[in-house]
Amino acid sequence: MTTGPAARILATAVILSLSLVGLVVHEGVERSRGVEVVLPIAAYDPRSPLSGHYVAFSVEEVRPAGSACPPGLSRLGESPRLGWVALRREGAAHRLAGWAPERAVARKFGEVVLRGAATCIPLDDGVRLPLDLGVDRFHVDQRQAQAIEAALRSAPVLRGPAEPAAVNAVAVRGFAVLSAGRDGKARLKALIVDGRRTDLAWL
Amino acid sequence: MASYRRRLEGDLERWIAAGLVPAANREAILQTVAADRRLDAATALSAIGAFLAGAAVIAFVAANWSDIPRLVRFTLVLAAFLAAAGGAAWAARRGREVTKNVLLSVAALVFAAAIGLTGQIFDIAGRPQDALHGAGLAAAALALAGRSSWTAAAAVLLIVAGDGYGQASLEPRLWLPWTLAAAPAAAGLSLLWRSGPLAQAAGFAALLVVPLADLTGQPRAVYLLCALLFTALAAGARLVRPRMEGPATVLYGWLVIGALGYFAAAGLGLDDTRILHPVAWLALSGAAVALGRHDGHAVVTAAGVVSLIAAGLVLLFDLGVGLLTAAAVFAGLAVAALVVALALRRRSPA
Repeated sequence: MTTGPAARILATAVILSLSLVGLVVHEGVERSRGVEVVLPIAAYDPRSPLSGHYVAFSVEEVRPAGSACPPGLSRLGESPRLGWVALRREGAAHRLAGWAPERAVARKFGEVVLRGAATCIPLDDGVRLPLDLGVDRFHVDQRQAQAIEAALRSAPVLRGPAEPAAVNAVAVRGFAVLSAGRDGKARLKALIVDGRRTDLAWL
Repeated sequence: MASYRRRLEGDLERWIAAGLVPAANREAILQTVAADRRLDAATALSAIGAFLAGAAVIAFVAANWSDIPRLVRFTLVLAAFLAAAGGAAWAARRGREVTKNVLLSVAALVFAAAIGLTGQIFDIAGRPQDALHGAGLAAAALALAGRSSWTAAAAVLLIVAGDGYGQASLEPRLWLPWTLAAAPAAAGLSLLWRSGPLAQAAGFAALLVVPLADLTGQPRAVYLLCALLFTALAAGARLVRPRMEGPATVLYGWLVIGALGYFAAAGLGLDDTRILHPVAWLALSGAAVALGRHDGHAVVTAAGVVSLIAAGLVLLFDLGVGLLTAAAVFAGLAVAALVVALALRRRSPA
């Protein structure tokens, strides 16, 4: 028995739609199953004004001036390398413990490892540790996005002579709540800004 | 440019006047050629109206996007895709080829957008190249299901875009880009489906296979090998031209461009004392011009001319200030071209 093109098109379209639904369900399940990790964030410039309503942020830790860089991190001027970022829990949040190209090596630095890159930027008044975990925006409605971003930007600016002009980092006013999956992928769960938590909701 | 039917009508008049074709056969001959398809004003206006209505709906939804619950937004995205695919299925059943092609291509592009929008709606982080590759695979599946060459061309371009995006990311560069599989598959399908647009997409993608692969630090021999491969494939396309006129002609042009381009790239970085490469490049470019003229293939001729100019400039640059040497090389090549032209003229029948 042969099927006509109309039936084949409809069957393919249904399979593709189900695959998209499957992706959403899979990501939702992985997000709820993963280990919850809380990391500091900063507002990030520049941002595109034409990409919808979202809070643009960078996962970034700031340490006192003179602090040592965690092991394995890229330095300012080097292109960040993709590998495994190790995190260690300290109190309510997590801290960057190191970076390694292999997962097993990164696990020696901290109990949670995520796929990503990390850079160490020593400045006059602090050490910036931006992390690239593939999570840098939180889609919410326009009013919420503006309120969260305003709160993030109200923190004092940390500057240094080696800092690129386009990057505007601020001290910690917010945290990203991530889910560290078994696959090493970071999935965003919520933002905490000024002590107020905003969770991703399906509805 | 006059269509084949119009040119045939003109030729027939001349042949009948010259007594080469009986006048009684005129209609029978013309009936073997399909009449030109023209879009009437009503159809064109209907299409424009449909596009504007679609734009109005999209703008209205976009204006209220953030107020719509996430699950409803996701349902809207899927509904738009299924509506386009359903329309294509309806057109396929009615035998409306152009409508099927348009709607299936729209469905493929809507699905590509749906991947991005789903990521945005549910804050699913992912690599853009994976999204583009996924969209390319989805478009390929739709193209094969509906036997749609336009959708297949969209699939090839999405896969090329995915490979290109992968180059800019932090991820290790892909040694074997997806385009390596997509380009020959699309070329084969273009011949099978007699599709010029798909052949264009396949040819374009074929040229990009090597730049999209990680060839950093690779020897020039790879480029030379690519030039040889493209030459062999161009020869193959030229051979099948009589049987598969449209797509084979298109592929032939792209493959000649690739052969000349890769041969040129093979000479990059050679030290300035080695003029063998630009001389050989010059000779190959001249051969491409001659071949293009012989086959009546404008793209091959144009590629040969552009390549000839580039090779000449490189040769002059490599020779430095030795203008007398340059003059000697050009004079030698000119004599060689004249000798070959003379030989060809003697071989051809009077």
